[in-house]
Amino acid sequence: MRTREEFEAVKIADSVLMDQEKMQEILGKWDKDGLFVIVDHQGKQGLDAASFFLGHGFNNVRCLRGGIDAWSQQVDKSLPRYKLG
Amino acid sequence: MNEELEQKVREAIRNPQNMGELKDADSVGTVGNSECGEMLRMWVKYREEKGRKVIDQATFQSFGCETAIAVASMATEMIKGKTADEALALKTEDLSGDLGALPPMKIHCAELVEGAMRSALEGREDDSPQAAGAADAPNPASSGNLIESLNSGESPSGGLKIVMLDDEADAEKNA
Repeated sequence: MRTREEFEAVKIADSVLMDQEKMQEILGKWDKDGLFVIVDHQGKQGLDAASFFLGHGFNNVRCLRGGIDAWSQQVDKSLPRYKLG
Repeated sequence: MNEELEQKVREAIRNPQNMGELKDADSVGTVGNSECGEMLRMWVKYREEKGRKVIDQATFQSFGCETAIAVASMATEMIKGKTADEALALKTEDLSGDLGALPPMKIHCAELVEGAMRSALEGREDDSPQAAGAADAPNPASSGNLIESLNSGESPSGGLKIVMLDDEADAEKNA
């Protein structure tokens, strides 16, 4: 969804990077009824990830509409916006 | 996943068959990428049997869910002794073997296995035994194992640079 570089450049407080290790941890250990929100850059790629988790029985997964780009415009303007070039 | 299927998947992954890299494979196929989080690679080695080139051994590495591992385990057992065409004629639902019919939300796991198998089997040049490992086939030795691919960030968007949009006008332009 977002690369480590994107995550390190801009992130919502207390969020965690979804890397392969985290994926394994989620699939193997996380509560399938627990709420978690996938944050991508602009709310496009995250939907696939959310579908993936829904397909694996995680009933409460959500995707942040508009991604972190929308968050930085509508919720926390202290977060800088970025583009991938 | 219903309880019966979950039990079968657990049993299948307790002792998965044919897991790991096949060093002297004739062909290899990969589906998925590290970005989407699911990857499955399958190696195939052929042997000659009564003038036919049949699958001697098939192995896999998976970075996917338990169901994908269970299906890959069963599928790699199932295609042994079959020609590539016979194996390719198997339908997605056949590959899940003893697991039986998969629920809709799990079908993509079997499709992942089918995709890797198709990619490995269609990499062959022809059905003659001599063609095993032919020059046009993907080079299994150079494919590496799945962990290497995952760690190398084999993904379509790799290498993109982050450009901060400090300027509000820039941001507007790129919105």
